[in-house]
Amino acid sequence: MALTDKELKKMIKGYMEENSPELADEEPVISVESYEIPEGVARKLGVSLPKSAKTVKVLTYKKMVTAEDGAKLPIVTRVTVDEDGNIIKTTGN
Amino acid sequence: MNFREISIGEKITDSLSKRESKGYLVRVDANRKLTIDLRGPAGQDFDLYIKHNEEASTLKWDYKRVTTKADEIITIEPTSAGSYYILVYAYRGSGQFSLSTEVPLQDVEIVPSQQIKGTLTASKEALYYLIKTKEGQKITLDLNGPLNADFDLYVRYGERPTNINYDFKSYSGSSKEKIIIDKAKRGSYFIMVYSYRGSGEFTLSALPLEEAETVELIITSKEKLRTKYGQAELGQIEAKIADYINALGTAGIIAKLAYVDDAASLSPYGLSPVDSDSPEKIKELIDGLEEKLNPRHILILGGPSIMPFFSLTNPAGFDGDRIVHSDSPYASRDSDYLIPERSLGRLPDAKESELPFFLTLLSAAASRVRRADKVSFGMTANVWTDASQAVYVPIKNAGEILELSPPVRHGDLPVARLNRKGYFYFNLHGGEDTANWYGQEGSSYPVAFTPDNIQDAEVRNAVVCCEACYGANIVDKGVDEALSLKFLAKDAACFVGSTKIAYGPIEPPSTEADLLVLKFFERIKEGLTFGDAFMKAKQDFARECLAARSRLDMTEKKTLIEFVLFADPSSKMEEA
Repeated sequence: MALTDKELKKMIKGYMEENSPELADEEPVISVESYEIPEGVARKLGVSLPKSAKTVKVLTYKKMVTAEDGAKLPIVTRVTVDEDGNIIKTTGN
Repeated sequence: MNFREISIGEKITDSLSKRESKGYLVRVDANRKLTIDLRGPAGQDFDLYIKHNEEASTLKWDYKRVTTKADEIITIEPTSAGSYYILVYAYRGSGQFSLSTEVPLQDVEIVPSQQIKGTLTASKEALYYLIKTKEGQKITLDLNGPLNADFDLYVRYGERPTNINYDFKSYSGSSKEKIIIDKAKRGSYFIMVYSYRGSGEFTLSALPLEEAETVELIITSKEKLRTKYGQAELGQIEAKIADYINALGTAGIIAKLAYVDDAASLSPYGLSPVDSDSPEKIKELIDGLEEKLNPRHILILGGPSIMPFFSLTNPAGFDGDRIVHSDSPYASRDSDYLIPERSLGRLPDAKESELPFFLTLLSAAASRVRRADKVSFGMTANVWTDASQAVYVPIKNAGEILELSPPVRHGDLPVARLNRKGYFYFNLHGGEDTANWYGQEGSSYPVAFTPDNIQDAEVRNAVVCCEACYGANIVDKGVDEALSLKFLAKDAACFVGSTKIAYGPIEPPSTEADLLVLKFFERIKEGLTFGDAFMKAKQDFARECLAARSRLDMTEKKTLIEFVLFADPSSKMEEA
């Protein structure tokens, strides 16, 4: 059975507390992304790609922080998980 | 530790006890794709570390895969010639594992003036390359192999040659062969280097293509320039453009200036003026001009108030950027704008009160010689130290270190530290409404670099790459409000940066902005023009992402479209 959003957030909370503590308490936006490669990309690069599109869920954590000089800076962490809630990629700005 | 040499394609089986590690090494040619595949016992955690030409360890590596599973795979593309040291480490658990390496047969692209090295390890072996050509070009291919062997050269248009099916062949009794194609067809010529007898290293070069003409298309808006600066000032700008066109002519490049909104400049090509506020219409015009002129490079003159960016939907939604300002569609021949096909750069202007900046930029472009010392300056947010070290590699010289912020702050950098550097690399935070760039450690974000830092610095002809969010945001910015413009005002030759929120890893392997900047530095170091290097870097980036995961995810797509090149695309770095 696919994980609910609530279950996902709970699973990822521990990871965020350890790796991005400044964002761990932020409420993430959960989105579904499908990795379809446009035909033009494959053609231009001369590669062949699998026809099936992979679907994953992405939890985006975001907040604005204040720098030393008062400037507002965006801080974002995106956690990509598979259908079982396994983290397959994390990235930040 | 003893690293056991294994062959490409060989699959070995071994075992590890808990916390034990074992080492292997493979020898690879340059410009190949190497895949290292580790399959470990279920339920355990084995990790993979790779280092080029040095023994790998859990602390010293160029690539690593350290998920919580025992199966790990690393793909390296393109490889450097030499040995890749592989360390398999049992982080948790124990058991049997298998390790295999693969270098699939594929065609390596060779570009004009490039020399590629390769190795044929036995008789009757072959390696494949390809070169992209334009209609009517003259191609000269030179092969030089070992004296005691007999290597042959085959070329075929549109597909790989064989010993039987080819369009051109050079096969003496030696390893020195040459093929000249007087009038190439537009497309790709596939090249086979074949060892008829013997083995050894060889070089293959594509001598500078003699083209019917090398054209640079310069595109801008006459009305926007007139409205923003005034009629008399437009005359000054046009005089500088004329100087630039003459300078290109001296360098053997025919420059064609096209005003998107001026009938007189477009009618010779049978084209009509377009709405200068519409990037879509401007792109259609560029497509039409390309059919007529076949330009080698395309230069957009002016910032977004003169020649608009495209406003593309942000692929990585929910990060706060609704749209992404991009030049990517201008660099693509179709609507699949993720992958550029054109050497394209922009020389931006700033606010209307800063005409001298734009005039200086045009004068610097006309000077054509962008020579600088190959020494570098690099600065990173402390939290990204490991990731930034991997990106810094191509431009780093012995003894040079990355500045970490904190503890380093903008006031800690003497001008002497920045003077006469040929390369600048920044991996710092940025904001939409600030000119400064920032470090980070924990929840501390100190000011790391400001426009004041280079006010009195000598950064002439430098290549500058910045991963900061909004690092190349120039919308409604003056010279002192955007470090990208400040560097250009100080005669830096090239600025690569992001118009919106940019992404990257905390540690290697390089992904997103880290990977793109790494690929750009590598291509610049090969001697490519700024426009070619930027185009190739994006292509390299996409190939590497697809090779690793068979996909381009949303942050990778955003990286491709948000990074822009502020430089004359036909110019290049000359290291003093």
